[in-house]
Amino acid sequence: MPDALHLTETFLIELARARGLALDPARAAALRPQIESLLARLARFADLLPADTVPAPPAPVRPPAP
Amino acid sequence: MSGEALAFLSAAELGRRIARGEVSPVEVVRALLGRIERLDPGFGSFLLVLGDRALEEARAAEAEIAARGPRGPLHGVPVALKDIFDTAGIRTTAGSKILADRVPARDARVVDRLRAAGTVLLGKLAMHEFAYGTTTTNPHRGACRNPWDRAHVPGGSSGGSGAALAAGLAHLSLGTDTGGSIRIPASACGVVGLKPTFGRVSRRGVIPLAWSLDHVGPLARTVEDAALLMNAIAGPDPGDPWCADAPAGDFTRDLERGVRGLTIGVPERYFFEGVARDIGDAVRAAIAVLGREGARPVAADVPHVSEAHTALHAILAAEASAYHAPWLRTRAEDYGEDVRRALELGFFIPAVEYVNARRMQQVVREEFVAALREADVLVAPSLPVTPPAIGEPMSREPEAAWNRLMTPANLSGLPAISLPCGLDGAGMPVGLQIIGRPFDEATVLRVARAFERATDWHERRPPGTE
Repeated sequence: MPDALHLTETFLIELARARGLALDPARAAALRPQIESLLARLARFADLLPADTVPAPPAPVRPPAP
Repeated sequence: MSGEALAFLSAAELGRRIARGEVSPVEVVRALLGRIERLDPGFGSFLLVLGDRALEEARAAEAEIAARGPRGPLHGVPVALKDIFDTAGIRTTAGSKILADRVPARDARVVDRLRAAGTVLLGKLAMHEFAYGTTTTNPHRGACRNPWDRAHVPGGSSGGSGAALAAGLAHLSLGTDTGGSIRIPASACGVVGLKPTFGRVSRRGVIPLAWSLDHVGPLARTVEDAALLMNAIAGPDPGDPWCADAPAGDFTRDLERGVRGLTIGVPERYFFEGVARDIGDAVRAAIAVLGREGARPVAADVPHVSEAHTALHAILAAEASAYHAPWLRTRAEDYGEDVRRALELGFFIPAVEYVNARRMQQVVREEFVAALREADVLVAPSLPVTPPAIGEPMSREPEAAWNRLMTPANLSGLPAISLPCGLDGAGMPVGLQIIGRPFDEATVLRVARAFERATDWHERRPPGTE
């Protein structure tokens, strides 16, 4: 299990700027707990996913063969 | 027949009366336009009413039916569309300021198909901005209100569709469902909403939210009406690369077969946890009704279902942010605050986590398919709580999210319907969710119809909609 995330607002502002997005300190502060929560939950997937799991196919699921 | 009686006829019955010449499509459109003018200021379900144009289409339908007979069961029946479907020459905004002046040149594929079926386009309906939310409290166009209690949200993102149907302002509607946006307003407003299998219905000409999760489907007041809409809109479309080549078939064929001999899977874990007591009681009562009708309830489980909401959240946020990136960089202040924040979040999802979310999507999909080898359908509540008050904060965290019982069917791509199965202690509608096998909407609709036939919840009307 990865360590708990502690992102800084400065890091978020810099990362956003590198992607062409203007993020002021207030917006970064509001976003930070949501990002930390989502990334922490996603980090669990690394332990939950069997190694041979492939991503879902980009094509739609097909009807079962007759 | 009074305007109110006309407005609350099922689309199927209205189509039959139009076909027999007993009811004029012009009379129906006039009745609905009168009701919209009188009642909709209280609900805010319509963004655009196509009064003269709808009357012109109704006159053309009437003349064609008189001369050559009806094209099919929906000829002359009015339909109102979520404002996310492109309509040629008619403003299509996705409820946004960003696209406030957008007038598409072409119809969406499903709009083409509705026109081919002879429906009459009544107008465009309110929605959560860019379909990215569950309330339809729209900062640019105002709040859409739930006809059952105007202080409460109608659900979303297709909230205008749910409200207009419940209030008797339209007979049929189409919505989109990326994280529950058809089934949430269906449940919240006491109507029927079907999210078909991923790829069953074309998305060409539909403003996207997340390409690998977006579904188009019907909202209606009865199961038969939803099936008739599916007959009109489903089927292959080379214009949508992710649209399946499976033939659509007739979704009404098995409607009246009943549920005797069918197995109903009940996934207690996750789907019944943290659910309001009134809702749990209503859904368990619905399962008992299906049992009395001859179905066999069995326990079911989807082991990783509790991860489905997180996986969906990551995929949806990343894809939505990719689509919106150009506007976020140049017009961020033109988004409402909740949608802007959700879109900004998508910029911080690493590619590895996105791929792992897609891998979890496959795990959950396989587990659902396995559970559906032991049962013909799964049944569960649609929403854990009835609609919140307008302005109440909505969490996107998985334990608290209002749509957390909906998102597993989006992630797995399986067909799922919500239909009314009760009222809570405050008189707000409760929805029953039925999830089926891939491309087996027919069985989902059959079970839903069996429940509807045995009960009268679909006949209840919100107060003040006379």
